[in-house]
Order: sequence, then C-alpha cells, then structure tokens
Amino acid sequence: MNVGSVAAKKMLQECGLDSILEIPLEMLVAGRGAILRYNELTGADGRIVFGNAGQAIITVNSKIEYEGKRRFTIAHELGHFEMHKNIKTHNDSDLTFNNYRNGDTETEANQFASELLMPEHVFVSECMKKKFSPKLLRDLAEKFNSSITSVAFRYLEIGTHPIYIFCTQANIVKYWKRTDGYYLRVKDITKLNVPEESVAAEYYKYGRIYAKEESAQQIFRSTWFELGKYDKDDVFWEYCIVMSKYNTVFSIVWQE
Amino acid sequence: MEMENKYRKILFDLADSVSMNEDAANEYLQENGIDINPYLAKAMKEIRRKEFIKKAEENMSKHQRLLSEAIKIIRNSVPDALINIEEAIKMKNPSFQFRNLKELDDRQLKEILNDVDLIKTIENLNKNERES
Repeated sequence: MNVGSVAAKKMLQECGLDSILEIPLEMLVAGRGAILRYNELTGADGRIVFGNAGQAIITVNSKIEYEGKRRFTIAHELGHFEMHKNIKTHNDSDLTFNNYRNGDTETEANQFASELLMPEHVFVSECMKKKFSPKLLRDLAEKFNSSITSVAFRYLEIGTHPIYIFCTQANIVKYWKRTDGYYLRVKDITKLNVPEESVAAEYYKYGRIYAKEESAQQIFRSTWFELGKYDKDDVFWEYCIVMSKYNTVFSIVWQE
Repeated sequence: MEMENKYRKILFDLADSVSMNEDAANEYLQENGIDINPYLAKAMKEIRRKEFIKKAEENMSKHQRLLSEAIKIIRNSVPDALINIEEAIKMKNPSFQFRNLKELDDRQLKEILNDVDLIKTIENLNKNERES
C-alpha cells in the first residue's frame, strides 16, 4: 500500500470513522485542525499555507463549479496538511492533481485524496463483475463524486482489469503507469512524440475529441507497445481524457 | 407489570454486582464464551468518533470567527504597496520555502502573502485567547 493511502486510513482510524461518507468533508478538515476557506484564486484550484505554530489555512478556489473537483481539491490539500508539514506552501492546480509519478509530495497527496474519497473496499466492490470501459470510469466518477482522471488512476491501482495510462503533454509522452503485474513492453517513447497511430496523436494533430459513445477507440498492441518475435498485433483500446487547458491527454489503454 | 419490574430489579442488581467487580465480570464472560475485545474496540471507536465530531463542530465555528477577525485586522493594517512580495513573505514567515513559488506571478504571490498574513494573525489571536 502506498504512503498516501496509509496516511488516509490512519487518519480515519484516529477519528473513529470508517469512511468519509459518514461526515461532511469540511467537518473532517476542521476536526483535524486546518482552517478551510473559499476564495477566488489565480491559476490554482487549491492552496495550503502553514503558519509557524503548526496551524494551516487551506484556500479552495471559489470558482470551482464541479463538486467532484472541489472535493478532490480539499482532500488533496488535507493530504498535504497530514503529511507534508515541513513544506510551508503548496499551490495546486489540475497539473499537480494529475501528477501520479512516484515519490513526490504531490503524488502522495493524490494517493491520500484517492483513498479518502474512494475507499479501497468500496471501490473494488463497485468494479466487481463489471467490464472495463470509459462508461465504467464515468459511472465510478459519479458514484464517488470525483474527477474522471482521479478515478482512472484509482482504477489502475486497485481496479479489476489491468490497464496502462500514458500521460502526454504538447504531443510529448511525459510518463506512463500500469496496473501492478501487467507486463507489456512499452515502446521507448518517454520524452518523445506520442505514437503516430494513437488516439492521443489525433488530438494533438487535428484537435479531435471523441464523443462519449465513441470514446473507446480501437488501436493495436503495436501502437504503444513493442511486439516480440512471437507476439500477435492484437486489438487494444484507447480512451483519451483530454485537458485542453493544459494541452494534456491521459491515454487509457487496455485489451478486452 | 409488577412482576416484570421485580425481574428487572433483580437483573439490574445482578448486573451491578458483577460489573462492580471486574475480575468477576471477566470470569463470568469467559465462562459463557464471550470475547469482550470486539465490543471494547467498537466502543472505543464510537468514543473517538463522538469526540472527533464534537471537536470538529467546535473548530468549525471557532475557525469562522478567527477568520473574520483576522481579515478585519489585516484590512486595517496591510500597506497598499509592497515593494517586494517575496521579501515580505520571507519576513513574515522565515521558514517559508520558495522552490515551489518560482513559477508564480505577482498576483499569485500576493494571494499567498494574504494567506501568510491570515494564518499568522490567527495564530496570534489563538495565542492571546489561550493566555487570557
């Protein structure tokens, strides 16, 4: 289990709670001692500033319209409050909320928020016996009142079907992650252009974003992965979560 | 009804006498194959939950009050023009780390400075309340 999840579970245990569904998130923040307020923020969704005596103020952008995003922002900042008191401020936007590379404070805060808002046992039971698809991710996002990207990364960690997620920005592959135990040899493309035949490339080249019903697009194994001597170029699927504001695409890739 | 009350009294008396003596109570429970640990854990959790919710409710109203007071104080004291925002933040909070502020513009830095002022004022208000 990752650092953020452990911290979230420990915190709930200390509060005598089984899950965040028992009390409002704002109440949890107050009970832990952080001061929460809503204010208009420039270029950020949330921020935490620590004082010298251990108190902290969490400011959440009052312009956030989508409740799932607002909740994830609060949970992410609470994660910083619980785990990263040594760093005096965190200024967070979609870019930090979607940072799932291992080993940094933003990833830990995201793990914390994911565990808090999408508790493992509930999430897994919601995925059971359901075929993986973009619709499933959208349903889970609605159920847990969270963003589709955070749900996708949660699914990658503890979902019931193995997937890969490729994070690309401005047509460059930034990083990728896979479900533990799902080994396919990814092409050597990190820091290089996204593969020409990928759905992500269609967005960067033509600005194409597929409608909900068509959001799972057929590709081939060789689009993102190396083909071994005996490998067949099987059919794979790619679903792109596009964040136009940051010229960023998360490609979710899987085999049926 | 009278009979029921009589039984009730006997039961309560018995429960009282057993529970007054912890060893006797444990012995009785053990003899009847009852493991009290799950009950204890559940009760402790419920106590933690209740205490936490009480504290959270108190904090929520306290935080709102402190925020309002701090905003008033800051509005009356912050100079209109600040020459160097980074310097001002450093002055007000020397342990501030700047590695994650480098990409921020002046407006964002001013917002952070505002938060630094707020938390500093709130901590002072808190300290004064504790001392008074």
